[in-house]
Amino acid sequence: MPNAVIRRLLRYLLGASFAVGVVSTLSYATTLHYELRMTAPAFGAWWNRYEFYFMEGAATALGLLIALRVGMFFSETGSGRRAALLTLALDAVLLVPLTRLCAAAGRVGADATSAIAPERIASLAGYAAAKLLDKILIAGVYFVKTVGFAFLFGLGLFGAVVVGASLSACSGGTLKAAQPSPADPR
Amino acid sequence: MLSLRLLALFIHVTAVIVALGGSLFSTFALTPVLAEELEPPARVRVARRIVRRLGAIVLSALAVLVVTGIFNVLFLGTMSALLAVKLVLVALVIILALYQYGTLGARIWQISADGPDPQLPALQARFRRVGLRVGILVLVIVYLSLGLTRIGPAPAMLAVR
Repeated sequence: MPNAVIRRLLRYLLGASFAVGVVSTLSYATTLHYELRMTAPAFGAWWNRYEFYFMEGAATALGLLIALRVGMFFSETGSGRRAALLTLALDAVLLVPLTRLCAAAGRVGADATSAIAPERIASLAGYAAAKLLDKILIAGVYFVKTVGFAFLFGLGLFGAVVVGASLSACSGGTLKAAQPSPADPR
Repeated sequence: MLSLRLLALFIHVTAVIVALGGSLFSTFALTPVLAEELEPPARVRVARRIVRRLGAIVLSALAVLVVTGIFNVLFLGTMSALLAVKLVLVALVIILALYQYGTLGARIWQISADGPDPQLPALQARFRRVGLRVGILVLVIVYLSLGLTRIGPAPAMLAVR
């Protein structure tokens, strides 16, 4: 598969996971599901049940895809392209367990000094607005932290796959044809 | 004495030793000796294989570092600004290592397939420079890790506000 096709596919997937992530995070933080329950009860109930998982899953997918895009940018070789496809497949397979792991790491909280954030928001925006903004801030920080851990995991996974792809290329792929001499045993 | 937390920490520290030790040995011991003892064609043959093998070792060690590092964050149970800085540096190290082995190392491998090439010295010098930056960043990360685990909570000036 050409590099341009992989990049286009990644762009679509990145856009989709970002959109799902933003919508589910805002919906979760602003309790939009109550409005949905009033207009479309069945869908509202379903959305209420799964929006949090959508938020976590989209954050993890976004982190993994950003890592893949960054990894592709920094290994512009044939084995890098193969590694990108393989990493994308592994990301899809591992998405559910990685979502649990990265979301758990994202829930690890900051120390007590971060508790002054709601007070500062309230002093700037008033109590009613601060309540809503604080919820959006908490959900947003959780989303970003999950993206961050997934990004780290995705980079590590891409590195490991690059190793496998390049080693297989040496032993049986394109690079074997470019061996310097038979005296170079491998 | 034997717990999952200790096992994760042991694998984490071992992966740091493998990644950093391998890179330092290659840069400061192996490469200078190769340059002195081997003729250019033989040196190129040995060097290209070392680049490939070291890349496999370092990138695998970094992947292990990330996995065990996330488990260590879960075990630690708190996220300080110092830890956030460390995680950003870890991402930077992996990106630099990917560039070093995924781009520069692969180019060295391809160019040196037919023996010495005029482009090779410049690429190898760049490869070493990036490797040194990776090594320095890993040392900074090790220092920050000691700060996280040995001197208690992060200093007030670094704490998240």
